[in-house]
Amino acid sequence: MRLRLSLVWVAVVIGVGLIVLLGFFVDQPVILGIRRILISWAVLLSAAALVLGLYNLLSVHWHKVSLQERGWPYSALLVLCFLVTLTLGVLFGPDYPVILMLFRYIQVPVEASLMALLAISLTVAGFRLVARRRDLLSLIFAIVAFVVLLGTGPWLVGGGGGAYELVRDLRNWFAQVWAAGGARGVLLGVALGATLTGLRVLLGSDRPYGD
Amino acid sequence: MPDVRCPMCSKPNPSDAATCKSCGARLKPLVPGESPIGGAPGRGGAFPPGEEREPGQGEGGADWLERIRPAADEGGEAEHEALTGGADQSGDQPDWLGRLRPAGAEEEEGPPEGEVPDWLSSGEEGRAQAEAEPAGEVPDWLARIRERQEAEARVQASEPEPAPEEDWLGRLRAEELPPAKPEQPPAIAVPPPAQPEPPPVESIPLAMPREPVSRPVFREEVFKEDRLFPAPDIGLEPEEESTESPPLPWHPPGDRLTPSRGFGRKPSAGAEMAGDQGQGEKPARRGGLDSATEPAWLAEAREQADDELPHVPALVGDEGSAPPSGSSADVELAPIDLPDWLSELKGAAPHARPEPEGLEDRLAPATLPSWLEAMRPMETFRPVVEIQPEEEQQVEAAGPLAGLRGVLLAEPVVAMPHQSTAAAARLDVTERQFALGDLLRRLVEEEERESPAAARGKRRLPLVRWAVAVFLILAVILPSFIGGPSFPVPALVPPGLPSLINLVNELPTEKPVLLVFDYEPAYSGELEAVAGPLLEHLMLRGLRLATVSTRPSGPPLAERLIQQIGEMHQYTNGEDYLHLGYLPGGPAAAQLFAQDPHLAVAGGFLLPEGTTGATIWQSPVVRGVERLSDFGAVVVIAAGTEIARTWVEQASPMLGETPLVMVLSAGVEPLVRPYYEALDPQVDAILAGLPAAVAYEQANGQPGQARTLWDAFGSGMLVAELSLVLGAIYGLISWLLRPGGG
Repeated sequence: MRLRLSLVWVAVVIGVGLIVLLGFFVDQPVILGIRRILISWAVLLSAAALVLGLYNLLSVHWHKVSLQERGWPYSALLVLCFLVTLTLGVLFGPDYPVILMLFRYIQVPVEASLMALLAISLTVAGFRLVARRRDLLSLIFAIVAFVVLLGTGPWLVGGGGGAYELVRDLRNWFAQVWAAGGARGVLLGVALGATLTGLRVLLGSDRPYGD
Repeated sequence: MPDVRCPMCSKPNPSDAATCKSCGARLKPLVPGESPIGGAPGRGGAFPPGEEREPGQGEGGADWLERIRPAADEGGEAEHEALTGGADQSGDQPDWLGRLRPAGAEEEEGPPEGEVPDWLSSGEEGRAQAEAEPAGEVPDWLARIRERQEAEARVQASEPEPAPEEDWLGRLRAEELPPAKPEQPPAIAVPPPAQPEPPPVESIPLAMPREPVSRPVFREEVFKEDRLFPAPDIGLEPEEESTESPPLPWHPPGDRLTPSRGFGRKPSAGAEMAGDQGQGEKPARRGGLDSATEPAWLAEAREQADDELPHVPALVGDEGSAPPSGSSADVELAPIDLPDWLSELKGAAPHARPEPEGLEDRLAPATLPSWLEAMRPMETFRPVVEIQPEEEQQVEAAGPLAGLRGVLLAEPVVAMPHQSTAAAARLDVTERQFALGDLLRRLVEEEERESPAAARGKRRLPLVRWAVAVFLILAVILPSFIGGPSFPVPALVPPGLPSLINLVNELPTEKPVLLVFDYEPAYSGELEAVAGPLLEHLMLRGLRLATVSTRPSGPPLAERLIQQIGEMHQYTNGEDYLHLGYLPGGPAAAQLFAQDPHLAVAGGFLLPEGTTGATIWQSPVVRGVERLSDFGAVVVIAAGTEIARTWVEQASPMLGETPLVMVLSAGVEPLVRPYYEALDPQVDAILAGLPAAVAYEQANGQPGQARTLWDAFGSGMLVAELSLVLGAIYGLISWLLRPGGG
């Protein structure tokens, strides 16, 4: 019985994958219609997964609060904010002015501040790197970072001179040759991996949905 | 030539042999003046002086013994007659019986050791010499004996003469009984059958057959000592009763009581056999009641004993497996120094007749009954007595039993090692097991031990961190408040900016532009400044704008940015721009929206009055849009590589001729640029980084948010560059100043 169910799941996955894949190559209304329906189902499932994620978040922090584990006040604050926001969103919708005000004056500044802290942390890390580590890779890293910063940022003096152009071209060479080359390699690897994974799923050899 | 049986081991020997070839015991008694042959049989093996002459070996004794032996082959009354009449018919009391009394008297009143004169140790000859000696030379102890004998003779003369067949037995018992009770009434001699009082062992008479001290008795003793299982009432007598004889009652001359049955105890099979077969041979050891004269209580007790008492197996299992009852009596008789002829009779009695059939069935040789064996704690001790073959049994080397095999060991239970009950509960742990157990114990202890809190080191103020943070904050804040330092705007235009400006300038005004806000609020500071010039350019051209996002925070961010820039261009919601809202599902939502925008959009965000999710596509902003390619342009504002790649890969096949523009964070640009610089580019334009935004603003001719942030951006970049330089200098100096460095 278990073997039959597994075969059913494999058949479903292969069929759905082939139909969606055919939609990129075959311009047939029937294929496109089925493909559209299947993708809409996937969207619904994704929305349901988001709801499950929210439920999991709430349950985890509720558990921490109930057991009064370490840091439980933060979890209590999260649960409180979660319930308030959820209640307001469900009752008045996501475009309610209070929701927008909370978003604009709380969420955006908080997240932007965290990003600013990242800038400070990266700067300190750069200082320690060049001050304590004295190997070749650290030296290369420090030189490239310095050149990219010089070529990206404005200069107080000589911003229009030949030196600035030289540094900017050097920065572009680093970014568009070395970085882009590495990025293309990464993208090719990702593409090959995605293709292989898709083929394995379509052939039934890889069953991430379970046996 | 007839063989002579050894009085010790009962083995046949040639008649002319002086010593037994099996056990070495002397076959011929020593006679005064005759040198011993072969030496003594062992330590203490020399016969006592008083027994060196035996009736069987004498001239007169051989005749009556020869008459007795044929009678021993007969049973029933013939045996009894032989037993009682054998001595009477001889006409006079045999010498051996007459010497029994002096021998018994010597046990009590004999001379001190070493004071026995030669004339006394030499038998009748010595006695004759003693009678011939003058009275003045008689020792005191002998005088007392003679006086006692004379007094007894006077008493016997005054009493009625007993039956001739019991004369010898009565006199013998009279010697054993206390002289104070010579006329004890017959009725008081019979103890109650239910609770017989055990007498001391010393009171056992010579002719009293006793229960054998057999191996099961020892087992029972160990069993009782363990006290693990209470012994059930199986009819076995206590150990004291089994080892000690019951009290000797006084019997009237006519009452022939069998003492062993008088205790309510069933004699062993050997005893029965010996009693049946050898009554005539052992008249002094047998005294019994006829069934007709037996009291009723004794018969009842016997029947009860026959039914309840188990058969106690013999200790020595050879030669019939169960020794006769007389064997136990031998143990008691041995210290009394029985004559050799009696030992010979004792040894010959079991062989006189075959064992009755069924004896092996009733008695398991040298074993306990199965029900008692099952209750025996097997682990607490090992078998205490093991019956060995006769050849392997040790020959007794000392004492009156010297030369005998299979003699009961003197140290059956106490001296033999056995497992103690306390040690039985212990574990037999090897060294390896002990080591493993100790390791496990230490592991558990380490787990349970609370690790001490890490000693807080001396807190050092993170000067570098604080210094960098302070300098960065000051560098970002100061230009906004004091207006300086002022950084010159980039004079050089980024490479992709002109093509983007041309692309926007060529967008058709009748088609709306789709703006995808797929970034988090954390990136709003950078991306709003970067996307601002593009958005302003679109508004400058009067293009309708529709926003969508695959992130929940996208629509509010779109509303925020459009409000900031649209105020100047009087863009209103529902007329100039419209928020299609959030598309749940990530890549699937982008795929679905690329295929069928109407199907993907559910409700919208901040929809104007009169517009709902169902009629959102009837809005003038997105009117006429059926597919993704119906938009004039698709602008994706993304802060991450994955989102940018998702839109490039999912939407570009559905775009057709619609351009795809990427507004990116500076860190994402290298990963998206390959889509832009390809031969068949999937991305038509890229706007990334604040310098490009400032240049775009300059191209628009209207300084915006990017220019406002330019000086702060420049100051921050300068602080970051200086931190790297200062860090490198600090590291170089510290390396040079380090001992051995440089």
